[in-house]
Amino acid sequence: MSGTPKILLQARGVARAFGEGARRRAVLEQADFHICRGEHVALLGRSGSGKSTLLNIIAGIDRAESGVITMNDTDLARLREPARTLFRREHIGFVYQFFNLLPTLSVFDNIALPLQLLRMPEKEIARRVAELLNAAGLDARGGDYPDQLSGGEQQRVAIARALAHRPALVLADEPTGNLDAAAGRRALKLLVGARDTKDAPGLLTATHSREVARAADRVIVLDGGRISDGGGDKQEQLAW
Amino acid sequence: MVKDRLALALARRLARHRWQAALSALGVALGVGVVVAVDLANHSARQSFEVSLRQIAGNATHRVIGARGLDERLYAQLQRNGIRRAAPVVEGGVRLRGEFFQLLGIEPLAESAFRGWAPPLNSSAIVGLLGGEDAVLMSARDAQRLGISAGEDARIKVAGAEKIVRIAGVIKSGAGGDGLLLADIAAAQRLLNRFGELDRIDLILNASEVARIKELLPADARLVVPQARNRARAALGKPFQTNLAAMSLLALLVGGFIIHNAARFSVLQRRELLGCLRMLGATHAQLFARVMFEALALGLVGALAGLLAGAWLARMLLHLVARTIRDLYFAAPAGELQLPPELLAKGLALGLALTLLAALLPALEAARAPPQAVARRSLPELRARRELPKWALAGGVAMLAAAALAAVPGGGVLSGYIALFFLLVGFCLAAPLLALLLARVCAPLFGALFGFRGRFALRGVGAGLSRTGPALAALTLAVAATIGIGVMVESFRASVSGWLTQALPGDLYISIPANSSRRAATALPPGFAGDVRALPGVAAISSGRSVEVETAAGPAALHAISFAPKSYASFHFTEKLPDLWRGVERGEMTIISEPYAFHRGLRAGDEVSLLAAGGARAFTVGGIFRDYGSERGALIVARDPYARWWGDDAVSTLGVYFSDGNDAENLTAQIKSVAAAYDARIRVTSNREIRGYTLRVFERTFAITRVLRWLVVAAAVLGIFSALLALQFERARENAVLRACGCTRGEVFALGALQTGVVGLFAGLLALPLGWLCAQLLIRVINPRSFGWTLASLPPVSTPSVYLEALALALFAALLAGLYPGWRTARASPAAALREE
Amino acid sequence: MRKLFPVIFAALLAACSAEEPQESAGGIPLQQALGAGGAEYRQVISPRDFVFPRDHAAHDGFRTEWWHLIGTLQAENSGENFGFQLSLFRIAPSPPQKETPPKNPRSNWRATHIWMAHAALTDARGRRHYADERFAREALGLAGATSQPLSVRVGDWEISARGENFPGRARVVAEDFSFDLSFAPQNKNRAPTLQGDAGLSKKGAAPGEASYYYSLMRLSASGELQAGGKTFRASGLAWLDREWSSKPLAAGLSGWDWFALHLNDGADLMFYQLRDGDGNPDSHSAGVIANADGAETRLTSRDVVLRPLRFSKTGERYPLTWEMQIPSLQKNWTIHAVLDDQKMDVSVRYWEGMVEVKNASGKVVGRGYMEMTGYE
Repeated sequence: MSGTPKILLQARGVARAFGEGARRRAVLEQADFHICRGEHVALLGRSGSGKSTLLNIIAGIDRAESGVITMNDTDLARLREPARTLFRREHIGFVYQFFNLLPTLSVFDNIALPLQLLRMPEKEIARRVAELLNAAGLDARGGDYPDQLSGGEQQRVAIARALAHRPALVLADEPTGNLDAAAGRRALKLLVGARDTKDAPGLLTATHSREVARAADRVIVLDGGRISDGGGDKQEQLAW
Repeated sequence: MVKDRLALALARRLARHRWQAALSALGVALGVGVVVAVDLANHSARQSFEVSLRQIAGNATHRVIGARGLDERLYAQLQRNGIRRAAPVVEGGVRLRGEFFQLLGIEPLAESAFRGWAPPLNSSAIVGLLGGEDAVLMSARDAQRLGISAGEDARIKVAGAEKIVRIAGVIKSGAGGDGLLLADIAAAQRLLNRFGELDRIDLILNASEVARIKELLPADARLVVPQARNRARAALGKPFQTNLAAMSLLALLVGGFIIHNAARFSVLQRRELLGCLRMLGATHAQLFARVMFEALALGLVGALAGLLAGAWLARMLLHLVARTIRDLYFAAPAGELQLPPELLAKGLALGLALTLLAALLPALEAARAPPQAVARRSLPELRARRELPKWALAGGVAMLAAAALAAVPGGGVLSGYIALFFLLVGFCLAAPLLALLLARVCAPLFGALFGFRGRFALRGVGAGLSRTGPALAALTLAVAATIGIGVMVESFRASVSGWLTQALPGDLYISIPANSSRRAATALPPGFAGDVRALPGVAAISSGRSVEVETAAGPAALHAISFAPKSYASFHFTEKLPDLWRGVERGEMTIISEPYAFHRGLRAGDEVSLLAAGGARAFTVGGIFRDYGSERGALIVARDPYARWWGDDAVSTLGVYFSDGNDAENLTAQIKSVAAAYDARIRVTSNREIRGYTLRVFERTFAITRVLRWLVVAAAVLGIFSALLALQFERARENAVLRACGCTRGEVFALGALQTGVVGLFAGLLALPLGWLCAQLLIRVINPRSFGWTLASLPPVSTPSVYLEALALALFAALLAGLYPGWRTARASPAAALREE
Repeated sequence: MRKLFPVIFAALLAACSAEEPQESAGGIPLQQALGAGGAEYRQVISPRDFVFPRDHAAHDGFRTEWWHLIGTLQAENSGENFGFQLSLFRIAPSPPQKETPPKNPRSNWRATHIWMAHAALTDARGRRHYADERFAREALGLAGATSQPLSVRVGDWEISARGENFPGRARVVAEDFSFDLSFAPQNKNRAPTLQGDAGLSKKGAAPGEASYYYSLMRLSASGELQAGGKTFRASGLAWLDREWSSKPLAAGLSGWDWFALHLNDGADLMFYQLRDGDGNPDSHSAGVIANADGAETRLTSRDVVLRPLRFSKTGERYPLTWEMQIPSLQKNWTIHAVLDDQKMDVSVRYWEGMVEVKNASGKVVGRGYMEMTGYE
């Protein structure tokens, strides 16, 4: 990294609760954090602590009840449909624990879909997808369907899909959670390796895995619904 | 073409469940098919009826008609006085090869201006007509259909007697003339036994001639304008056709339910896909448009299939509709089925509109699909459950609106049908909530009867309400419709039957078959009545003469009756003036039937003007009586005044009353032998036979209703079927767990059947009150407003069979529909279902 | 599915019934309308005695009979020239013996004869020709010829006797014209002219190809007429032709040109030229010329030479100007149609109208009518 790291995403006071009346539960109470351009931040926290919720809020899939999330001079929390969806389409990539590929499309088409949504011309799509398949080591598998791939291969396709449109921010929710060690390493390499290019995306991974956390530049912890925006010490967190 | 990956992703999943798509298309096809079929049949029947009226009328601007027939010398008189464009006509109904034909006697020399479709003067056909034999012309189309060629002889039946005519030629197709036998007027007079008389003189008059001709006409002749009369005549068939059309819309409604259901299912089943697409950046609008497009594509296929099916079905329906019109109105045959493009386009548009409407909600749901990674299956269910009360409230409001509409007096048939529509839709909106409540109420009972299985089945109904709700509503609708129509038909039959018992107090009825219903029936030989009366064992006779008379509002059926003592009791009056019978005997009053009063807006005490031999005569309406004999209605006057004023003392019917304690068979045989002695075709029928015949015609008229009823039920069964298939898919996991826990295939099947049975039972139970309400609407509002009849309203206890049948139908339909899905469920491998995430 | 759509649509469209075009009922050529009757009709074979006024009425048993009344009039005040025509045809569609005995002869509409009537008026100055027709059957008093009183009537068009005179009166009321005229013979003592051989006028070589034919060639006429909305009192000369036959036109002949001329010097000329299929005159053409005293000279096809000079512009090319030469009598006339379009535009098509006769120097020496058939 050269120069002053520019802030990509800034979150302040994000709060979200679920349930009605007596059963109301605050999943997020006060989340303050930031992510810089090209920075890999790992989000740690116990299961059920709201990591997925936070990721969903950032992606615009869920709405925060209060707080401000600024990215690209836009307050994501204030955006309404369809602006939210369009923002997500252009600037955000998402990777899931359970892959979430479209079973009715081929590998090639799965990766191409977000590009088509962005109205990219077919020729360029073909080029970009080929590039990504190559990076994922799946050149020959373009015509196969997800149910013909192993778990690791599927996740790599999912990562390729998330990176296809060169989003400013990539969110990953337990990306290796469903993979064995070897596959997980390969997937992580693909995911994190993208940051070696210029205009690298910011990456926020919610994870349990030490490997993932170790690969990160910074670690933030979600505890009791709160994240404090501190730099954090990696070693300290890893002991946890 | 650029590959639309979004569309592909969704469509491929749809292709996995082709049956749903097929059912959806089938639903549209069924709805559109029935509507188009009825529309086409009605249109064709109406068209050919109007065409036949018009071609008989031709270009005439005016027409001279008489009280009972015109003196033929009037024609010569008009000619002598410079009324040049005049065409005399003698017509009557005949039967050729069992089919009804109108024998039209014309003056070929005067025809060219009038009926352009008649052959020109120089044709051999016309020369053949003037040749002096019993020569007739018929249309090429009819000739081909009946296998008759020019030059052949043919047998026709006129007033029961058989006569031979020669087919002198054929009239080219397309020019008109279907259902007609064209003859020279001299031949027609001879065949129809109408010497010295004309039925009418058609005229083309300019303004000055109109003024002049009025002075030339005798007192008992009248100048009328044909177009208005034709319109009035054609309008008679309208209520009948409106009823048919309304019933067909019912099928459309059910078809709509099927589409709705299928669309809902397709959305639910692709919820995860949709969520994923939303996550990837597809907007609400994109997904909405996609689902709507899919629905429309299926709708288009279904609608087109429906058009084809409808055209095919229309052919059969046309036959039924035409037969009814012919039975009731003695009109020329219906001709061919026409397929006017506007009607087909209308059917297509209706199908597409229906699809759009039905798929709207599911498409909105698809658009609102949360872009969550993990599917929350219970969400739509919860939402559906929450919204139930809202729908039920809307339903209640609709039903109240229906009641309000129905209660407003003086409304038309249309408002009656709108009320029916609101009632049905309202109830269906409330049906899911009612089903839920019903489930809660029945829970203890079911638990007691079936143990945990019963409770499981009941809860399943509630849990799957978003899928089963619409299907339940559709089945309820269909079954309620069958109840409603069934009860109405029963009450109709009871009314007609009761009326027949009352209206035919005589033991025997004697008549001479008429050559057509529009002209005076041939008379019984003079002296015959006296001979019958003189027989020992005959207590009394009543005699009657039935003719068509001119009133201010057009032609009407008049019966001139000489009453026997028992005849008076045969009338059931809804309105009556004091001193009625005396007024009738004196010729001051007339009694009119309910439909007649309804169509003319008459009450007791109003005046009616009838055209008699010496000019118009006024009668006071003395009473209005129930009569199901014809929905045109009729007037009754006493025979003596009639004979006096119309110069016609002939008798065409006799009612014979036996004395008590007589051997009816013996007496009947005696009367028949008396009749045989006269050289006339006298018909002697017992009142039992008449009842039988009337009820047969009644059944025939409602045959078409039965056909439609079954179509509607079939549509509903389809709806249940598709809903259950959907349910089975959704429940795959649950059922797999059951199997994993040790339930056998048979037990899983039984559970499914129980659940299906519950759906059917609930639909049936809910249909009972709805059906009764529908019946009330039909009996008290729609029928009277269409035809003017008052029907007896029967309490449910007197028609238990209709309700029980309906309940059984609902149960059976549901179980039948559930067979295949249940079988699939039982057969499914638990492992596959459990393997899914 | 996409491919199937247009097919289905086309099938649906094709199923909609197509309207068949109606056959247009055109006019009927005169010969066909009058037609040749078969052997069952009475034939004109041998000469007969003519008795008047009895023979003015109808003769049963023949296929066709007509009363053909024409004339030229001048309006009293304005001197405008008019021509009028009233032709009443009596036709027996079925021969008398062939009639099956009526099974139940009670319908008063049964008729053995039907009538066809043509009426026309030519307004020379207004350059208009009016024509109308009537049809009626001989039943119920709708049409017929009666002896007592002597009257021939179709609807309200009538030629009747007045006193001893026949024709005495002719009345026609049509849509846009009418006339009511009285007639009297110019010379009371002059008997009706029997055409041909004492009234038997041969039209062809075969027996029966002939008609009984007489004419009242010169009558004075006067009365009222209405044309173009105006009423005129007029007077002039008239001519009545009477014929009955069962074969008025021989096979192989296509039509005729007939002339009835009133010459200013008191002479009357009748000549008919029969034409064969190629338009050449037939040898049975004949006529008569009577001078002012009534002395008659028979004319044959050799005596009269007719040459058409000018034709109409319409498709049928009616000859509208003729040259008539009778060398034996030193007659050399041209006959001119007063109006080009005097076609009878009724169910039967022919040309009949007013003509002027001019001598070699172009002076008008007579008036009359000519009738041309067989050009359609």
